[in-house]
Amino acid sequence: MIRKYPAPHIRKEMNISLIYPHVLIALLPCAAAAVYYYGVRALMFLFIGMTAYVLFDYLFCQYVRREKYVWDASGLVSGAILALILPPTVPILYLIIGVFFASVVIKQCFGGLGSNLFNPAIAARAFLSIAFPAIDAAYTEPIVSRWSVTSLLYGPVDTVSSATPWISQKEHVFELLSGRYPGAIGTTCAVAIIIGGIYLVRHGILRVEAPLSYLIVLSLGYWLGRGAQATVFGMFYWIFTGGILFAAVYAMGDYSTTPTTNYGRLIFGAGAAILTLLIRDFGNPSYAVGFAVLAMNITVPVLDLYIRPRIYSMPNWFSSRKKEDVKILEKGGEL
Amino acid sequence: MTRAVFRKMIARALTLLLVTLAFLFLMNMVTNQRLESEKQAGLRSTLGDVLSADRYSQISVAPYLEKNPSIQTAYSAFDSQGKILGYVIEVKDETETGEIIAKMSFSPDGGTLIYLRVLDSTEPGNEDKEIRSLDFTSQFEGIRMPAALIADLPEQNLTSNEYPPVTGLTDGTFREQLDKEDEAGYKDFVEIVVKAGRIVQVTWDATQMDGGNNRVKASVDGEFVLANNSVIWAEQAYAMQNRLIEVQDPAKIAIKSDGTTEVVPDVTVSVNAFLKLANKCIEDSKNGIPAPSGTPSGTPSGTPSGSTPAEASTDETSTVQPTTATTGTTAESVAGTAADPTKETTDSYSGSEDGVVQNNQGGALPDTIDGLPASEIKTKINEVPGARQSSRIVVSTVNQAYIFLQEYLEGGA
Repeated sequence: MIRKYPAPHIRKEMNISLIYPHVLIALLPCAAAAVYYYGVRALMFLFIGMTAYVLFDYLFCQYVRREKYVWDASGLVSGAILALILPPTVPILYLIIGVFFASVVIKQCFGGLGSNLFNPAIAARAFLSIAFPAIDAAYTEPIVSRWSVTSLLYGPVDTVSSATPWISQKEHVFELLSGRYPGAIGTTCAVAIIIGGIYLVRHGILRVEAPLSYLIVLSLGYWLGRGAQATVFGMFYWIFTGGILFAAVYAMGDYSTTPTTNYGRLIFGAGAAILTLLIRDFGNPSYAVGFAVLAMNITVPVLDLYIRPRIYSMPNWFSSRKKEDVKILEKGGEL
Repeated sequence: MTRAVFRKMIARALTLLLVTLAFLFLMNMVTNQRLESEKQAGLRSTLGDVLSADRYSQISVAPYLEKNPSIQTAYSAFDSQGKILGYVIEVKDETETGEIIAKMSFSPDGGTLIYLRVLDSTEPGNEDKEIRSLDFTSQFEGIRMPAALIADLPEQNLTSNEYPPVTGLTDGTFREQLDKEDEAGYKDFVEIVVKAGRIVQVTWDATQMDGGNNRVKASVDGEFVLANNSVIWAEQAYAMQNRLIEVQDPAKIAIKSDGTTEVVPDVTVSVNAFLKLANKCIEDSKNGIPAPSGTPSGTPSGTPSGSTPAEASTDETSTVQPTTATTGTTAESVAGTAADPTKETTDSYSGSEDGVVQNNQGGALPDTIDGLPASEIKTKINEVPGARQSSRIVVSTVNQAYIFLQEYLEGGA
């Protein structure tokens, strides 16, 4: 027997307790690449990042007697993201400081899950970059001594640190796709990020407007900026390196730090892209993506205020009659 | 979340994991060979200046970091046949004003430093330039390890092991060669360098009259083989050279009637020619007859011209220069340190090239240098004037690399 219910209909179950486990699964390819390239140190980063984040969340909520959102996996996701966007040589203490900053300062002090203005992991990474600038000059070659237990104490050994996380343009497409070049431990493997992104889109978790507009504007910026020197490989090199792809998938899909409307997300992505271009070309390129995302995080309340979704039976906010309509509606009248 | 949803999620997670790992393994297989050849080319350009080789293999320093934290990287160097040529080690050490990074190469047995380059130094003023200059670093070429600054050695170490020099020697390079070649076509020659009245460098080799390799090189390459499973000729010549530098006088090396000697271990060949030529060189020194012009000092004929310092060292020309210490410098370095008993109890200070030092510190010279017994020190190094601390750090980097290498070799390399 078919039972009939009035609209609206819920097509499938999707709530916080499901969204974050899905994001965690989507992070698995990047985590796998991180462990593949940096071995035990990457495992340790992920373990400490995730457990410390959950612990700080729990302790803070306990202290302020707030309802504990410990088992929603949001702490695990943020801890994992922070661990993946750090260079492999970062001391463990810095990682823990970063996790504390992300959990307590950025997330819990703003009201907890869903109330934070900034993306916690990205903000913590930026904080570490400012507080300990040496970490941005410590990217090391992957694979070398990845299973050496000594690396747990001393960081990656038998390898030379370099100041840039980007590969040179002479590198081949295989390295570009597989991420076998010095960089943050989990952000270099483009294919892993794409697999994670496809998974999130497939399950309706990642809203593609912000990532797409971000990548499209960045690509346009590359072609405009490079002019005759621009190449297709150069464009992919441009957007696959420096954590851009990772930020597009895992930072611009965050519900609480991106706008709620499609237009808002398009503007958010485009703005982040323009800022990334400006910082990369004229500022400090070491963590351009992170600062661009954080700058756009600040604009989210404004974007949400002025670009509201059209209410059913209500006029479009953009329509020419909007001001008059809004006034009528505000006085309790009908259109 | 229901159990069914949870199971689905686990299955999806495993699928993503497997796909990613499969991709990474595939990419690794595709890129490995090219990356390795590119890596070798890069290593040849960065390490070739201290030890030229066809292939370098990285040594994991991780297991040794606890004891040798200053070791940055280490490589084994091989020729095209896979024969080991030596080791290249990079060491970074902290100083009071910054850090010094040195790159050096060692012989396959780890006992001889082939070549040293100070890559980076943050020492103030002129010290940085001096520490990196060839005047200082060339002292380390081909030396036996370990090494120490002359100023850091206890007095007894400087004097008790030293035989008095032959009197009347004049400084310079002296060379003598036999008139006739032996049955194998080799004509022996000996070259001696005298500095401050002491023999500081000896070379014993023989030129092949047919234009082939010198005997040292031929023995290293296996062209000149000795019978009775004895050590190769180059090593025996090396031992004799060391012995002469140690005793200073050929008369102190006893020989048997058949021309062999028992006072130098592992030497089984006849050393008659060596002693005869050494005596002639000493006579030349006494009479002030220098080596014929056109024969570069310390470079026996047959050494390939135009070779880099590292190549020249690996040619096993067996030039020994175990000490650059001069008696004058030695006497100056240790003067008064033990003779005056009041210095052990009186705190007095005096100006020195490194600033003000406590005089009784100078009297209490250490028994160990960089953790090595002072009695084991084989080479004494002159410091850069006015930069004793920086010189000491450079020597320390060399000794740390030596200690690391010995540990590595003992560990079954």
